[in-house]
Amino acid sequence: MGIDFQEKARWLARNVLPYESILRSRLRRMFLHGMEVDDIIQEMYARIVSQPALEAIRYPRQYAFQTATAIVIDHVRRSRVVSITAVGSLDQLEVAALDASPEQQLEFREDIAEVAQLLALLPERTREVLIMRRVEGLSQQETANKLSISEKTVEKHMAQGVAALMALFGRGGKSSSHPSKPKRADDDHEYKTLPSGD
Amino acid sequence: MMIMNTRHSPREIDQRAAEWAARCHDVLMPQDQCAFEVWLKADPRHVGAYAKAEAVLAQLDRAGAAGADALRLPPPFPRQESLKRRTMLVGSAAAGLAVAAGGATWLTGLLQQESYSTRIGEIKEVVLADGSMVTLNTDSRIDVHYTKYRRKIHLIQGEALFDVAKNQKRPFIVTAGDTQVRAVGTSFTVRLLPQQPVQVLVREGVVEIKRPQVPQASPVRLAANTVAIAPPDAPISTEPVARLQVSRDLAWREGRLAFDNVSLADAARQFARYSAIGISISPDLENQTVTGLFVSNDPVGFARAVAISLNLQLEVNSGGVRLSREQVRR
Repeated sequence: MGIDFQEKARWLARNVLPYESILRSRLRRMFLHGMEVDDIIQEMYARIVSQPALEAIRYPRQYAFQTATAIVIDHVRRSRVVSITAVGSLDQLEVAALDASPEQQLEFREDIAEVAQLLALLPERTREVLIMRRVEGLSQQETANKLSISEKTVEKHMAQGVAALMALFGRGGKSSSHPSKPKRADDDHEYKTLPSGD
Repeated sequence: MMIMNTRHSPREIDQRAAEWAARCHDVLMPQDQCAFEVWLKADPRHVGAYAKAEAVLAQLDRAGAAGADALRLPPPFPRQESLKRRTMLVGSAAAGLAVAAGGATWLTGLLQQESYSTRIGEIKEVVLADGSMVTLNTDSRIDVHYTKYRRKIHLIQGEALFDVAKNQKRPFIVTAGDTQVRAVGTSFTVRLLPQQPVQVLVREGVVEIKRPQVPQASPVRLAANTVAIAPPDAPISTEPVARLQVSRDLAWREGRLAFDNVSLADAARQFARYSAIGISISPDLENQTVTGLFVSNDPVGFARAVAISLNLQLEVNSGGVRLSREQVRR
């Protein structure tokens, strides 16, 4: 695998991670047959990280949404049962990509606030380990000494912390921390009743 | 590529990816490096999950540019009232004050005893000490009691989704009424509503349900996409649920209710859990069905949408709203 993950991670952190929850909620609303949103998201990250030159992508957020769209289309084409709902609702993703206007680009300050907010949801010890290791740059051994726990436990807290943050970024993320943003208001147009039976 | 044969769940993959990311921060031993590459090549989703894990760490680094203390302070706009209180407690502990403050008893990082609750119309996500996640639906309450050998949760009322972190040695046990649900690492909901039998819905993995007070009732094993109903004086019954229905049943996590051919009477009952504003349906309309996705704590919006699309009359009165057939105009 010739992928330099660390180098690409910053790009993903800036351009994809904060928008994952919006993308997820769009995908979930499509009720795609035989496809899990989690699978689509993982495949989206896989496709993007495999791109050789991320910095050349001019509209990163659109690119992420388009990648997810391509995955859905691929799946619909591959599966025999073509879901009309899936095809019909693909434009919902396109809409999501279009509203990525510059004013919606998140401020760096908001990113910090979000990280702080998500960290606050973690168990204290786990959060402290993440901060010591990543932000203060302590080694595993130094962290273990400072907290009087074993190195193995430090590693466990790191893994748990990363896993919990992965879930939190995907679920809560941006959309729930900024309920006043316009993207919430436009949701109302999509609640439809279809009388069925009679 | 979507791989459909026996496979790990996305959550298990994320978990593995997080473990690798936690370790790769240091230089890996050659044999570990090899194992890591084998794992990466096994499934494209592994690549995606690992990329995301690294992105999470990178985001932490970026935010860390503001200084570690900015990340330790309570966040400027907390999501929920009770979480805020919890955050403050934990925040002050981190700042070096008394650790055993108030109700939050932190014996070690892995022992925990706490309560979480939601008000009507509220939904809350909680990360527990072991990394398991609980999503509480409206008007629900759980007590968490973690010991060295057991992760015990008591569902006092309402409904909760449990995404359980895998740990063979420390089973995760949810008690609701007289029913016990036991899991090792899986994802399931437990529902305990007044005048209704306990309901368990499994989304991933396997759980075991039993009733300790009824020794003759043998434990029931429940696989993914199955629902179990445990009425107080009858055996536990199970039935399969379509995957699509499972995601519909979990629409509440997004603050939604998803109906597929549900009767108006049933829909009104479901809305009643999420708001004090009731919907009453005239008897001749109770069996009329609706399909759609609605905001769970907005019964008026739902009633209005139904009235418009089914050409019904909507009356607003003191206790709530009422749907009836439109009066014939003279």
